[in-house]
Amino acid sequence: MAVVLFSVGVATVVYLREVSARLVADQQARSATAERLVHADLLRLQQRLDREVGHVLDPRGVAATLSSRGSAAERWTWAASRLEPGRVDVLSVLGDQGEVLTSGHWPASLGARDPAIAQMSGLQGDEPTLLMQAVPSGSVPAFVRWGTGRWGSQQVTAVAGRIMDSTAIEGLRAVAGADLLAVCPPSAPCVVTVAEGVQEPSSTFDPDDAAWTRALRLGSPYPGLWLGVDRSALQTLRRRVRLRALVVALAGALLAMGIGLVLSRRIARPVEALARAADEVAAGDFHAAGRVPASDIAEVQRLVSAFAEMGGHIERSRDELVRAERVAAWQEIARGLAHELKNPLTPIQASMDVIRRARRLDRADFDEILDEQAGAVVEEVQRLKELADSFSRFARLPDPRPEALDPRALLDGVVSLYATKNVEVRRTYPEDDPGLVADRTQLHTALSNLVKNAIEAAEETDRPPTLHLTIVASDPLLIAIEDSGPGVAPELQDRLFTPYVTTKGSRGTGLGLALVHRIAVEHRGSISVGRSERLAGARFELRLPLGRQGS
Amino acid sequence: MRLAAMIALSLLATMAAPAPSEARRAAVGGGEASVYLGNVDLALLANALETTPLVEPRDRRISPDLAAAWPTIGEEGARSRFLAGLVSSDAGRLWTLVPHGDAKPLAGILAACLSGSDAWPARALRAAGTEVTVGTAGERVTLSFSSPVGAVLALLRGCASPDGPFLAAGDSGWTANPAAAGGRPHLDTVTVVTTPGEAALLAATSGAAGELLVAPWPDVWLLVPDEAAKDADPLDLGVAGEGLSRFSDELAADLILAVHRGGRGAATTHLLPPGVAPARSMAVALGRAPAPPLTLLPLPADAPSLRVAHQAADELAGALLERLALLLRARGWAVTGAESKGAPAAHIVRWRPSTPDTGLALLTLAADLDLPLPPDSAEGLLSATRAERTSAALTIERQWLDARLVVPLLTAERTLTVSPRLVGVRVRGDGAPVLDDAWWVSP
Repeated sequence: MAVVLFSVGVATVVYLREVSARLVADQQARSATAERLVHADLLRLQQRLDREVGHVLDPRGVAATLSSRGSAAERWTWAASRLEPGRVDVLSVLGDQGEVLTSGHWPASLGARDPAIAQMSGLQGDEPTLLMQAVPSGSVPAFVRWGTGRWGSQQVTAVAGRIMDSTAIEGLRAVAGADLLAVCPPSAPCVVTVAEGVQEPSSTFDPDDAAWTRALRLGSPYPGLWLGVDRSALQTLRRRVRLRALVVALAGALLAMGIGLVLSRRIARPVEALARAADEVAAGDFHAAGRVPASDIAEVQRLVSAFAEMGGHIERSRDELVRAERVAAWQEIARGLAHELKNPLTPIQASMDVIRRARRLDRADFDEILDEQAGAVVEEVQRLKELADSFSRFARLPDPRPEALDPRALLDGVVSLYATKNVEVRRTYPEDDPGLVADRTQLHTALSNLVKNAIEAAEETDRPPTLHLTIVASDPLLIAIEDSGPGVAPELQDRLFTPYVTTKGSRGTGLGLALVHRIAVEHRGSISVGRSERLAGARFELRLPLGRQGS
Repeated sequence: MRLAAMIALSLLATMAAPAPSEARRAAVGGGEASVYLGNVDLALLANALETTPLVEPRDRRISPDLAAAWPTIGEEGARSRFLAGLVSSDAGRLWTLVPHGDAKPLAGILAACLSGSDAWPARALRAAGTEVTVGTAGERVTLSFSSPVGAVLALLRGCASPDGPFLAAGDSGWTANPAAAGGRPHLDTVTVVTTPGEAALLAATSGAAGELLVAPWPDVWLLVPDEAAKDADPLDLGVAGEGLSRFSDELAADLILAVHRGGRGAATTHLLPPGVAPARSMAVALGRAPAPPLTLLPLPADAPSLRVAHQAADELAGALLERLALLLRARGWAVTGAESKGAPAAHIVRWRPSTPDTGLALLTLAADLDLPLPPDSAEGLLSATRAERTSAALTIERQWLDARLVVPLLTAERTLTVSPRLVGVRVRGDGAPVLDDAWWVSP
C-alpha cells in the first residue's frame, strides 16, 4: 500500500509539475502579447501626438496665425478643438520662457510657467515621455511629446500628451490583457491598476520591491511603465505541488511507520520474547521457554512451540545431566572416601600386625610396643572420625534458607574468629549494605573455610601474613579473599574444589573447598581461584546473586 | 376648374387669416411648456408666471388694440394695466396714483412692494434711507415718502399684481389662470423639468437647439473682499491708474467666458453692466510691461492664504476662483475654497441688476452687498430725471471702485433657449421667461 501510495504521489507531483510548466508558458505568452499591445498603443499615441505637435509648430498653421492675430479665447477654442479624450488629453503651447500661451486642457493656466518645461529642455521629446503634467487638481502622470519651433520671431514649444491617471491606465491594462499596469513617473509615486480578481499585494508598488516581483512578473519595455502577469496562480500551484509531495511523503512515512509498528507488534515482540526466554533458559530458568506468549502468525508460533519444546528437552537433559553428575560426583566422592578410608586403615592393620607379632614372639618390650602401636591406632581412628564428620557435613548440606544479611559484618565476624594478631587484615568494602539475601549459616561455613585456608597459607611463607578482603556491591555480589601465601599451583586450580583435593597434605580433609563450592552452587553462585596480584598469593572469588527474600 | 377653386379658397383663407399676433387669440390654445431652469431661479420663474407687472415698458410686439387699452403713463412710455396715471406733489414727497380698479388692492400691492418686503424697490428705498407710507384717498392711492423721490414710475416697474397668467398647481407646476389680468394665456400648463433633455421645449441653457433669447442686460460677477483683504490688496489693485485694468488683463475673462459660456460675455472694469449703465470702454494702459509668467509651483507652508467663497453651483464662479488662485499664487498667496475652515475673506458674487434704471440698480447693489452710500446721495439716485440718476450712480460706482470695496470680474449674458415651435416667449429684465403671450405653432 505504501508503494502504491508513493507511486500515486509521484504521479501527482509529475502531473502538477507539467501543469505548472504549461502555466508558465501561458503566462509568458500573455506577457509577450500584453507588451506587444502596449507597444502598438504607444506607437499610435506617438503618431497622434506627433501630428498635434506638427500642427502647432506649423508656422503657417492655425495656431501660429492665432498667436499673432487671435485672442486668448480664440487660441483656446482652437486648442480645445484638437483635444480627443483618451488620446490627446494635453495640448499646450508654451512661450520662450515656458509660459502657457494657450492650454486646451487647462485654460486657466494662461500665462503660467509649466513646471515640466525644465524636464523638457533636458530631454528629447521625440518619443512619448512620462512626465508629471500640471492640471487644475495638481499634477498627474502623462505621456507627453513635445517639440520646439518658431512663430515668427517667437520661440514656442508645443506639448501634446495623454494623461495616464488610474482610469487611463486601467483602460490600457484591459486592452493589453495584463494583470497589472503601473506608471511610475520620475520623482512621483506610481499609479497602479490590477485586474479584477488579482490580489494586489499589500505593499506600495515599487518596481524594485521583491514582494511585487514574487507575485507578478514585471517587465519594463518603456521607462516608467510596468506590465505584469499574475504569477500568484503559478506560485499557488507550485506550493500545492510541494505541499502534496510533502503530504505524500509524510503519508508514506506514517504508513510505513504504522505498518512497521504493526509488524513489530506481531513479529518482533514474539521474537523479542523468544530472545528473552532464551536468555532466561541460558541462565537456568528452563520454564521460561513455556512462558513465551502465543502468536497469531503461524511461522512465529511454530518457532515459539519449537523453542518451548527445546526448553523442555534442555531441562530434562539438564536434570539427567545433573543426576548423572551427581551420580558421578558421588561416585567420585565414594572413590575418594574409599581411598581416604584406606589410608588410616592400613596403618591400623599394620599396627595390629606388629602387636600380634610381638605377642607371638613374646617380646620383652611388648608393653612398649603395645603402647606405641595403640597410639598410632588411636590417631588413625581419630582421623577416621574426622573424615566421617566432614563427609557427614558435606553430605547433609540442607537447602539454603535465605535471609537478608550484611556480607561485610558476616565476613568481619569470620575473620575475627580465625585471624591472629600477627595477621594483617585489609578491607575494601562498599559504604552501603549491598543487600545480600543468602543462608547465613552456609555462607558463614563457606567464608570460614576460605578465611582459615587463607590464614594458614599466609603463615606458610616468610612474608608478613596479610589478608585482603574485598566486597564489590554488584549483582552477583563479589567477595574476594586474597592471602600472602604461596598461592595455588595452576595445575591444581581446576580441581581444587573437587572433593578430597587438598594442598594441606595429610592435614586437610579435602572437603572444605568442595563444601564451599557446593554452598556457592546451592546459592546459584560460583567460586574461583586465581593469583593475587597485590599480595602474590592466592585470590579466591566467591560470587553470589544478591537474590530476594523468599526466592 | 376644381384646381382653380382650390387655389382661390387657399388664397381667401390666407387673406382671411388674421395677423399672427391676433391669430393666436383665435387659434385653439393649449399645450404644456416644460422649463429646464438652468440659471433661472425657481422663485423668479414663479414670480414671472404668477404675477403681472404693475408697469411695463412699451413693447412693440403688443398688438395695437392692447396697446390702446394700456395707455402710456409717465414720460418714459411705460404702460400699465392697473394705473391710469400718477401725479407727484410736494417736490416728489407725495404721489397720487389713479388705478383702473379699486384702490385698496392696489394700495396693498404697493405697500408690500415698496416697504416691508424683499422686492427690489423696497431694498432700493431702504438703501437710500427713504421710507414710504401707502394710503388711499377715495379712489386714489397715495404714496408718501420721507424724502423726495422722483423715480416712482421706475420703482413701480418692480411691483406686480398677484393675478398673473398662471396659477401654482402643486410642486413645480402651473396651470392657466382664466382670471389673469391680461386674460387667459394660451398655454394650459407650465412644468419644471430636471434635465434639459426632458425639456425639449423651453430650456434655459446655451448650446441647446432652439432660438436663443438674451436677457436685456448681463449678470455681473464681482469679487467682494472683507476689510482685511481689501487692505492687504494681494492683487495690487491699488496701483494708481492701472491696477484694475492690469488685473482685468491678467484675469483673461474672455478666455474664461469662451470656455464656460461660449464667449457670451465680456471682461469688465465696472460694476454696472451695459444695459443698466451706458456702455463704457475699458481702460487700457499703453506701454505696460508684460506680466511675468505665473507659477504653478507649490507655495511654502507659511505662505499667506486667502479663503474665497462662492456659490457651489456657479460654474463660472468656480472658473474665476481657479484663475484667481493662479494670479494670487504668482504673488505668493495661497487661495483656499470651501474645503477650508473659517470665515471667508472674500466672496465671488454673481449679481444681476433687477432694473435697468442706473440709479435704482446701484441702490439695489448697495442693499445687496451692504455697500456704503455717500451722504445726501439718495436725492440724486432717486431723482425724477434719469440722466441725474445715472450720473449720481456712476459717480458712486467710481468711488466704490477706487476704494476697492468691490472688484468687477466679468459679465455674462443670461440666455434662454426656446423651442422653435414655441413663439411669443419674452425675457424679463431679471432673466425670467414671460409666457403670458406664448403659444405653440404646428410643426
